[in-house]
Amino acid sequence: MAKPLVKRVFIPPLIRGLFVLAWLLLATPIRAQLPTTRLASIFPPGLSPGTTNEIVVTGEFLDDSTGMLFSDHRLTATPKPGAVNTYIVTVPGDLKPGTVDLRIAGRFGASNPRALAIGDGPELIAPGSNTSLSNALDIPLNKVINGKAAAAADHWFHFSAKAGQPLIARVEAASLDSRLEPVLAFYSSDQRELGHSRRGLLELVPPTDGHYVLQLHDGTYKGGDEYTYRLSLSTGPHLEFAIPPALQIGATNHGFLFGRNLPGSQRSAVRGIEGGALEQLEVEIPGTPDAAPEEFLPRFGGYTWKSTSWRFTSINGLSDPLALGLTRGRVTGVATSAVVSVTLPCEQGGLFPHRKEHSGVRFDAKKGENWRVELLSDRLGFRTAAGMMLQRLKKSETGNETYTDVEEIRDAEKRFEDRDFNTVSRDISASLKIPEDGTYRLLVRDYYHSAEEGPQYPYLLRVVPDAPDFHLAVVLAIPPKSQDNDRRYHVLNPVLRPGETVALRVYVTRQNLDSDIEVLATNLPPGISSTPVRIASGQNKGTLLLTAAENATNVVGPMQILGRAQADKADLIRTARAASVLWPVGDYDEEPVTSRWVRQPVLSIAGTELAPITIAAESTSPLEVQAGTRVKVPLRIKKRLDFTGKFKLKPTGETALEKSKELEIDPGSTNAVAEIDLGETALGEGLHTLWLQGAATVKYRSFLDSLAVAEVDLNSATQAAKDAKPDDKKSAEERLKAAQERKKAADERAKARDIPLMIYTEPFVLKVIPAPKAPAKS
Amino acid sequence: MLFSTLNPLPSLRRAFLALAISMGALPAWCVASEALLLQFRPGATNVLLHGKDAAQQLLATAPKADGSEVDLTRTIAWKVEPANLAVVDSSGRVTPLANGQGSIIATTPEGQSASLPLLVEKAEISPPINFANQIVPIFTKNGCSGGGCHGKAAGQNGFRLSLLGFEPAEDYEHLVKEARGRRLFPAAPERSLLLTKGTATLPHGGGKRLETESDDYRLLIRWITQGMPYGQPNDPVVTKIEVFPTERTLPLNGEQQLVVTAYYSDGSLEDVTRGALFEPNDKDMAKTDSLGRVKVFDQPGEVAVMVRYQGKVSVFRGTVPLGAPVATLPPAHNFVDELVFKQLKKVGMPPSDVCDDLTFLRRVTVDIAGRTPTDQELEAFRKDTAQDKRDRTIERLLASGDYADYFANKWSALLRNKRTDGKQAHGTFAFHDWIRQSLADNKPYDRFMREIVGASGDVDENPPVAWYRQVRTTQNQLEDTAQLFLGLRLQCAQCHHHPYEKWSQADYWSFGAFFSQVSYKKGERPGEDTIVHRRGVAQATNKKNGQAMKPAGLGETPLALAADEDPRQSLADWMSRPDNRFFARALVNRYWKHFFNRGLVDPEDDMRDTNPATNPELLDALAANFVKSGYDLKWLVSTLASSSVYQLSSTPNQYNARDRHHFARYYPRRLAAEVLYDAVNTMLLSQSKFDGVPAGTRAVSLPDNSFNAGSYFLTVFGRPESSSACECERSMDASLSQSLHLLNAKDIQERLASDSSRASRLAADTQQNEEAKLRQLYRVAFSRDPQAGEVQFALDYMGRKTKSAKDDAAKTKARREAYEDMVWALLNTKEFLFNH
Repeated sequence: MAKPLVKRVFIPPLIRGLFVLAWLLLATPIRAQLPTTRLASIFPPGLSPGTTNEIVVTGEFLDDSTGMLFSDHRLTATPKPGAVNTYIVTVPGDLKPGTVDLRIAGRFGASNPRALAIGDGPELIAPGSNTSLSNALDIPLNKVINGKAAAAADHWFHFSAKAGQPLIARVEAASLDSRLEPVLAFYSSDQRELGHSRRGLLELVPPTDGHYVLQLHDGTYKGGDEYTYRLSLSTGPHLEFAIPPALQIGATNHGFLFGRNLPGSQRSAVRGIEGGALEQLEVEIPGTPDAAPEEFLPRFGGYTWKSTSWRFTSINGLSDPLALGLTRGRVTGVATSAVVSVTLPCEQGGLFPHRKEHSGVRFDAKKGENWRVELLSDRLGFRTAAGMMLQRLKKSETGNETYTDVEEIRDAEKRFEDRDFNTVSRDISASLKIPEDGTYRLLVRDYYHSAEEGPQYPYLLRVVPDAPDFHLAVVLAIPPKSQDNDRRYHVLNPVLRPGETVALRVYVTRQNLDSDIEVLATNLPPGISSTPVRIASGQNKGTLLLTAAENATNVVGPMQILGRAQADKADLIRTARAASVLWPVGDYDEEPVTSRWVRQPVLSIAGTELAPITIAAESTSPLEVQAGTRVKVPLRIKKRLDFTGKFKLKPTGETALEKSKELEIDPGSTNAVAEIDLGETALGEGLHTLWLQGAATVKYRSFLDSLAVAEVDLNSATQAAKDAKPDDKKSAEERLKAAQERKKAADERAKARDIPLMIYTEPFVLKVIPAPKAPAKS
Repeated sequence: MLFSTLNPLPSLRRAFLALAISMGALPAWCVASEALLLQFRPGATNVLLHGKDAAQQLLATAPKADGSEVDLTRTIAWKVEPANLAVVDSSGRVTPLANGQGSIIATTPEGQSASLPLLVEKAEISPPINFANQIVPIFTKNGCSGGGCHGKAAGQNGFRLSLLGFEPAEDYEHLVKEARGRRLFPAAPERSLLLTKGTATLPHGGGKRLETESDDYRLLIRWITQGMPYGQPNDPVVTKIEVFPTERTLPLNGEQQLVVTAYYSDGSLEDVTRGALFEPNDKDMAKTDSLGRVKVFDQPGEVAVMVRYQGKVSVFRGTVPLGAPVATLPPAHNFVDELVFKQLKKVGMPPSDVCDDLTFLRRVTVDIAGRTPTDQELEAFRKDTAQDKRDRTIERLLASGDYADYFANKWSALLRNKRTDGKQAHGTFAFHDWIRQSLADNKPYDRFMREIVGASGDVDENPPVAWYRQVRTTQNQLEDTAQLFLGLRLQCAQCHHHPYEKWSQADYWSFGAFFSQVSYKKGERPGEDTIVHRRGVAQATNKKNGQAMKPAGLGETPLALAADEDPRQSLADWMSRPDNRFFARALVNRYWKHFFNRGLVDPEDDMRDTNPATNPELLDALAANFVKSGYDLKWLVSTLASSSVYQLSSTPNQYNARDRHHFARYYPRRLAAEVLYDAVNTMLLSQSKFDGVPAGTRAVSLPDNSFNAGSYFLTVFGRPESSSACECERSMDASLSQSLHLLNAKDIQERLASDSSRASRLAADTQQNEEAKLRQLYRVAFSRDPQAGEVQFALDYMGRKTKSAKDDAAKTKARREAYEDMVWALLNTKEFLFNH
C-alpha cells in the first residue's frame, strides 16, 4: 500500500540553460486555459523491480521540471543531465507487480498522471524498426517487451515455441494510458494465419516445434508516442473472470476461476471473449488481497463499488490482474447459469444466462420489506448490459409452480452523463419494496450476450437492506469555451497560482439518502485553503472551491475530499475519488473524451506566476444578515494581467441564488460591491458558503523570464559580434544569428494571448438570522 | 355462377361423371388416343361449363417417342358432339351454347383423335358479376393499373387504380364513386367514360385498350348494366392460380398454349387464361400473347413465363434444347457435374473441354484469393504431377489469409460496412476485421448470419453491431435481411402487394416485427451506437391498415414471443432451419454466381417463383448439401471450384457460344476493381499507398469504402460504396473511362516509368537474356508462358526500338522504353483484364 504523497517541489533558478529554451521552441500548446504541466506519454511504460532505467516523457509545459512524482513514494527519479525530458528512475526490488501513477512536477505545477507498470521480470524494449516481416524482432517467451506503435505500420515479432505448449500473447495498452487499440495475429513461419484478435489477447497452441510470427498494429493503424504497449508471450496463467466476481473482506473466499493455462483446471462449457471454451479452476482466495484497492481502476460507474485487483500464482507464473469487487457481506457463487435459493440478505455470484436459460436468486420475503438490489458486472469492466425481473411464485391447487412478473427492475440511481465524466453504468442499483408475502425470484439477463453462443460473463447480485449511503467523485471544473463552436476538451490539472481560486465539481450518488451532505477538503497542502460546502437534500452536484494564498510557494500535496452526512443519527463519511481526462480532444463530436480515476490525486501550486486576478470579500468573517433583506458584499479586486473589457460575476454556491443579479466588474477597479437580495433568493437561515463566478478573457503572458534570458543572450551576442576580431567574426555572427532566432522564439512564446478564464471570487460566508418578529397587534 | 363447382355435385353432373367413367379406364387426367392427349388441368377428366360466361381453354398434346411433348392445340381440328352444345374455336377454347352433355373431339391431320366428356348447364344464365374477381383483372391485363399508368401512386389524369389491382375495394371507390360517378353511366353503359376512353372512342392518353367485340368489353357492359355490383361479402376469393403445363421442352421456334386455373376460397375453380397476364423473363428467348400462347425463338436455353392473376402468380418453365449430340462429357467430379451434365444432355448442348492447368490456376486463384498467381505458385503447380493437384490448390487457397481477405471484401460491401466520416473508422475497421476473421475461421454461415442479425452491444465488444449503423429503420433491417440472407426483394411489399411474388404488406410487416425491439443508444464513441434488445412484446404496425403484426417468418404462422426474448434470435432460428426454403438457397446461388459469373437464379438476390433457377435440381442439391455440411462455406467453395463444370474452358465449341444458362463453358468476366488494381501493382512492381494503412496494403484488404474517394482507379472500375445489400452495386461493366485510364492515366504512366518498376528492372537485368525476361513478363501478366510467335514478336519490337540508338546510353534508354511498352501493352489486353 502506497503512503500518502506529500512532496515539496523547489523550482531551481530561472535560468536553466539554453537547451531548455530550445525545447520550448518546439512546443505548440493549445492555450484554451492557463498553462499547466501536461504529460502525454512516457516511455518505456513499464519497468522491472530492482532496476534503474531511463524514462522519456512527452507533453506540454514540461518546463523547469524538477522531477517525477509517483503514487508510490518508493519509486524515485532524477532528470538525466544533458538530456531533454529524460529521467533516471529507480524501482526498488521489493515492489510488487502492479501499476503506479507518474507525474511531472514543472513550472506550471504537477502534471496529470500517466500509468507506469511494474513488472515481475525483465522488461525489454522494442526498437520500433520491426515494421516489415524481414525486420521482425526476435522475442523470448515470458518476457515483457515495451514498445510504441508507428502509424500506418505493422510490427512484426519472431519467436520459437514448442508444439502443444499453450501461449498467451497479451498487450497492455489502455491500462497504461496508451491510445493503442491492439490488433494481434499469429502466423506460422510459412505465413499461414493461426489466430487473430482485436482485444489485445490471443492464444496460440503451436502445432509443431518451430518458429512463429506475431503481428501487432493499432486497430485503425494510428501510432506515435502515445501508442505505447507492453507485449508478452506467456506460458503462464491468464484469467478472464472469477465467480463470484467479488471478495468478502477478511474472509477466505471460495470461488471459481475461468481462464487459460490454469494448472489443475478442467474444461468448462463457458466461452471466453475469443469464443473458445475456458478452463475452470476451483480456488480459495483470501479476502485480504495483497494488491492495493487503488490498483484496479474500473470504469467510472465503479466508484460506487470498491474493487481490487488480484493475481493468481501458479507453477507457471503469475497471472494478469483480475478485477474483483470488495464487500463486507458473505459472498457465494455458482459457476453456471442457475436460479439459486437464498435467504436474504445475499451476495450471490453467477453467470449471465444464455437464451432460454434462467439465472438469479429465489427467496422468501414479506410485504413491505425494503431491499437494495445491486448487480455488479459492467462496473468491473465486463461489457454487459443487465436486465432484471422480479417474479412471484404461484402454486396451483395441483401443486404446479408458475412465476408471474411483478416488476422489471431498472437502474433507479441518478448517474452523471457529463462528457468528460460519464458515470453511466449498465449495472443495476435500485430500491426494491416487496409488495406482498411470498416466494420470489430475481432473474438477471445480459441484453448484450443472450444468444446460445458467444461469451458469457459473471455477475454478483447483492440484495441487502436498503440502508442510506452515498458516494462522491470530484473532477476539476471545465474552463469556459473560447467560442460557441469550441468542442475541445482539455486535460485539466488542479494547479493553482498564488491568489487564484479554482473550482472542483463534486458529484454525489445517493442510495436511499435524503439528507444534506457536507463536502470539505482535508489535509490540504500548505498555502491552499477551502471552505466546506453543502450539497442540499435532493441535489447530486456541488462545487468546492480551493484558494491559493497570495504568498504561497510551489508545492505539491495530496487532494483529499470528504463527504459527511447524517443517516440514522450516525455520521456517514465517504472519501471522494478523483478523475482526469486522459488526452486533449479537438472535437468531442469526432472523438471520445476518455477519462480515468487517478491514483493518489494531488493539488499543486505553480508559484512562478501569480493569478491573473484575485477577487475576495473584504471581510473574512461571516456576514450577518437578516432573512428577507438585502446584503451588500464589498469585494477587493487585484488585477495582475489585462482583461478584454468588463465581465460579469454572479453570486452562486446554492441553488437558491439562481435568481440573483449579476455584478459587472471593471477589471481596472480595485473594488466592487455585490448585492444579494435574500428576499428574492429565499436563502434560508443559517450559514451559507457563497461566492461569485463568471467568465472573462484575459490577455495572458508568460515565459517573461525566458524572454529576459533571450534578451540578455541577444545583447551579449550582438556585442560579441561587434567586438569580434576578424578570425572570430564568422563564429560570432553565427552565435548572433542563433541568439536572434532564440529571441524571436521567446518573443513569440511570451506574446500576449487571449485566454478564456473562469473567475471565482474567494468564498465568503453569510450568516442569515431570522428577521425580527413584527409586534403583535393589540 | 361463373365458376365450375366441384363439390357438391348436382345430380346432372353426377350422372355425367358416371358416364365419363363408364366410357372406360382412362388415364388419370385425360382421355386420349395413343398419340394424342386432351388436357386442361391436372386431374380433370371432363369439361364442365356452368353459366353463360363459362369457358375452358383446352390443350391438345402429342407425346413423342423421346419423351418430349408437342403442342397441337392450334393445328388440330376440334368439334363438339352434339354440335349445338358448345363451340371450340381455333385456339382450343370451348364456350357453351345450350345445356346438355356430350363430348369434345379433337382430330389431327393424320387422323389421330381424342375426346373429352362435356357437360353444359345453365347456359342461359348470366350469374351476378363480382367486381374483384371479374372486373379488376380486366384492368390488370390491359395495363390500366400498371405502375406507369393509373396504377401509380398519384394515378393518371385524376383517375387512380391500385397497382396491378391489389386493392379492389379502393379501385371500386375510385371507379364507381369518385368524381360523382362520372366514369360510369348505367343508363347507357356503352357511353360510360370508362369504356369510351378504354376503346379510344374519346381521346385517351393510354390509347386503345379494349375492343368493342372483346369478352372484356361485353363483361364490363354487363357489369354496368347490372348496376355495378361489388359482390357479396361472402363471395369466394382467389386463393391461388395454377398454370398448366408447368414445364415443357419446346423445339426451337416452337409454341405452347398455356391454361390458367384459378382456385377459389369456396373450392370452386375457373379457367382464367384469358384474364391472366403472361410475361417471359427473357424477351430474347420467347414472347407471349394475351391468349396464353408462348412462342420461343431460335435460341436454346431456359425461359420462364410469369403468369399473374389477381395478385397470384404461377410460372411456366420452357426448356428449349439445342438438340446437339452430347457424345462425351468431362469426368464428373461431384454432384455439381452430374446435375449440370444431366441438363446439358437434356438440352443437347456439348460442353467445352476442361481448361488447361495454368488457366485453371489463374482462374481459381483470382476467384478464391482475389489475386493472380505468383511465379512460385505457377512453377510449383506446373511441376506437380499428382492427379489431385487442382483439389489441393483449392484447399491451399482456402487455408490462406488471401481467401479471407477477398471474401471479406465481398461481404463487407454487402453488409454496408460504410464509412461516411472519419469517426466511424474504428467501427468499420472492427467490422471488417470481424467479417474477415469469421471467414478465416470458417464460421458456419448460419452462425455468421445470427451474429449479424442478432447483434447487440457496442462495436468494441461486438463489431457486427456496425451493420445496424447503416440499416437504421425496421424497413431497412427487414429488407436487407431478406435481400442479403434470403435472396428476396421485399421492398415493394412495404407499400403494396409484391407484383411478382406472393408477399403482401402483412407478410412484410410481420417480418419487420422481428426488428421491432431493436433499440439504439448513444455509444461511447461518437458516431457509433450501442444496439440493445428493448424488452417488450415484439410487434410491428402494418402501415396499410394499422393492424399490429406479430413476428412471422415468410410464409409462416406468427410467433408469440415473451417480452424477454429477443425476436431477432427467433428470426435467426427460422432462417437457419434446415427446411427453410430461402436461406441456404440464397447463399449457394450467391456463391455460384461468384464462381460461374451468372447465378442459377439471376439476379442472385431476386429469387422468386417467377424468376426460377435455370437448374432447379442443382440449386436444391447445392442447398441441401450446404445445410448437411453444417453451413460450411469452405466446403461450398471447394465443391464449386473442384467441379469439372467450373474448370471448363471459356473457349466455346460450335454449340455453346450463345449459352448463357447451362454453364456449358466458363463465362469470362472482367477482374473486379480491387483485384485488377492489385494485379496492375503486381505487374508494375509498384506499391499501393492508401492513406492510413501500411504502404503495400492490397486493395482487396481495404476495410471500408472510404478509400474509393482517393483512388480514381477503384472508382472507375466500380468498387462499391457499400450503400446497399445488392451485389449489383459493384459495377463489372467495361467502359471507355476504364480503357482510357489504363491506356494513359498519369498515375499508371508514372508507375510504369518509375525507376523501381518492373520494366526498369527487366531492362537493367543482365543476368537473364531477353527471351527469359519476356517469359517472366508473360507469366506475371497471364499466368502462362508466351507462345513462340509472341516471343518473336516482342523480340522483334525490342530490336527495332534499340536498333537506332546511337550509343550505349541511348540503347539502355531504348531498352527500358521497350520494356515499358511491353508491360503497358500486356496490361491493356483482355487476357490480363479478364478472368477466363
